[in-house]
Amino acid sequence: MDTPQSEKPGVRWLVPAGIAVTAGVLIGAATPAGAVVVTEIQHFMDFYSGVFTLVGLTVSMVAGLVATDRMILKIQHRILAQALHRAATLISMAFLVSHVVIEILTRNADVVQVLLPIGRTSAIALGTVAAHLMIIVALTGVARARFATGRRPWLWRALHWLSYAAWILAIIHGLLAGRQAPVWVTWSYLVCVAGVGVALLARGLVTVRPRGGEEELPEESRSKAAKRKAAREASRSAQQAANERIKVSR
Amino acid sequence: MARRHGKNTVVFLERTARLANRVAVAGMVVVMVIVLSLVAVVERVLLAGRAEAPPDGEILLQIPEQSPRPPPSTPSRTRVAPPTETLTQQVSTFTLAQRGPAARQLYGVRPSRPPVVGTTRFSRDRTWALGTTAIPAPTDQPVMPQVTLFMARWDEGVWRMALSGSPEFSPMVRQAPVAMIPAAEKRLLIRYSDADADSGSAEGLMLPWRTGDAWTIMANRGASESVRPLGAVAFRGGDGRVLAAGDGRLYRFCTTESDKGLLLVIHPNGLATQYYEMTKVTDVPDGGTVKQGDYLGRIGTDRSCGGAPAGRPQVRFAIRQGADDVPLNGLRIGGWTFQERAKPLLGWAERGVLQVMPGESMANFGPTDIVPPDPPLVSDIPDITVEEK
Repeated sequence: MDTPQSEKPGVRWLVPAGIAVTAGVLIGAATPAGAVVVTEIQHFMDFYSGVFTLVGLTVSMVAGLVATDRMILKIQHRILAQALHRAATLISMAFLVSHVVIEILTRNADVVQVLLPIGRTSAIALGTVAAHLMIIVALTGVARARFATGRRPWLWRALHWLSYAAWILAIIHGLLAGRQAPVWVTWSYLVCVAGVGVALLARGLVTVRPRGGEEELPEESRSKAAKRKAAREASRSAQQAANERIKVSR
Repeated sequence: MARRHGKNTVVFLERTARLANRVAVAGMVVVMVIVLSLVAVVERVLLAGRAEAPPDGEILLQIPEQSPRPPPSTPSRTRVAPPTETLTQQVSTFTLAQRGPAARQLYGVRPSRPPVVGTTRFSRDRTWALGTTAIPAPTDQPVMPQVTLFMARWDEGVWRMALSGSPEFSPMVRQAPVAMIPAAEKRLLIRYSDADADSGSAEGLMLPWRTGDAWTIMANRGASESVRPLGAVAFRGGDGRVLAAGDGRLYRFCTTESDKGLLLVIHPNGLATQYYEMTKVTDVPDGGTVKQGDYLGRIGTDRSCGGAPAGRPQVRFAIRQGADDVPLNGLRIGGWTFQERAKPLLGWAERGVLQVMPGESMANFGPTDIVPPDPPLVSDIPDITVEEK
């Protein structure tokens, strides 16, 4: 992930391809047939980008929680969970942007509400706050390495804890704002909250575990360092992730 | 042993790294798709003016009042806006010219009041309009008022108009900007307008009240020259809550007050159901979707579209398609088949061996018409349990 784009094989054609696809979409959307399709897309996104933001956030949160587990999972599982955590966050952020833009376009929200939690209903204001928290968490998440090597690694952790607040606010926002939530949606939200609650509890157990667990760390990291060296050719990104994690957990 | 362990780990890590990369790439692909969709939507909005709210959301109602004033057009547009204030008058005249004879035949007399026009939606540049118009029924005829949707387009200095059911209507709907009429609504309007009234396609419709309840059916033969015993049907009873007979989109007519007026619900098969005389009419916006069983209003005595007073609260109910009323004869709705006979002049609803005449009550068996099972034999007396000691 941290490898410069130009060094990756096959990336050279990616930029022209991206430009070509974007141009194709822009031209296609201007045709009458494209307009019909885009209208359907708009309708779909108006209905579901908010929902998918929340779903992505939930997946990200669960994956992030799973990635911290050390009782059941092996290191490779945790690397995978981290990859999922990042991908889900990325998708969720994209849906968040789309949700906000579409709501403004359809006049369900004002531009001011993007910045300030004000407006017609407090339900939308909740969404604004949740979005802000989410963006803070995501941005600091990207800059995690800097925090880890800096003097205040705890600050990163504290900021990352904001995601729980963002998530809860987003759920309330999802239930109260917009269209009336069907019963099954309400129930699945509750199930999500319960699931994350259980996962948090599991994490708490790991954290509160006797200190012996912590003392294993140096040895674990030593062996990991050896593995890392061996796996360097295989993947720089995965190993980097592991590296970062160790730093932070110290 | 240790080396073997290390080798295994390397393999594992390689595989993990590959999988993790794949997850990251998949994530990027999804993000690209979202971004491109958003780009397309924003472009569309910029091209077609600011997006209209989707039909299920909030739609700005623009019903001209008694003194139609020019709508608040955007000052940034330098082009001369079409005269929307003359549209109401022109549509009214047009409706009378097109549908006047049919209304006269149905009402028995010449319509006494001019058509009531409700312009509900304009395109961004105000060159397109979609609205509703109705010819009020005479105050001595207990009939369903004649209603129709209209499309209008400002073209070379004149408003070109088409009423639903006429061959010009569908092409205009097709050409209208999608920001004004979403694609799904276009399909529905075209199906409604183009459908030839074939009876018996009321599949899936139910009677407009809560399933299981029984309401009284009232019928007038209407004043039409081709007399139909079930020409004008109304229902009353139960909890008084009128519900949508099927899924569809809702359009309002003759709305002098926000909670009154005549409702037309166009169903996906092109058939539409009409509800009139209600009070406390739902606030679902024009063109908004309703589901089967959604609340539409309460039975009432509203006369905003004319018609003879019934004396007691009721809902007048009819089925329409394109330009025509669809006779109830032979239709199966809510588990009942409606029948009409000329000699003797009789109309009734039947279900198996059951027959219900006007003035009697009939139960709504719902859309699927499943014969309700006999109530299970349940006793309040608990089973006797013998405890052995």
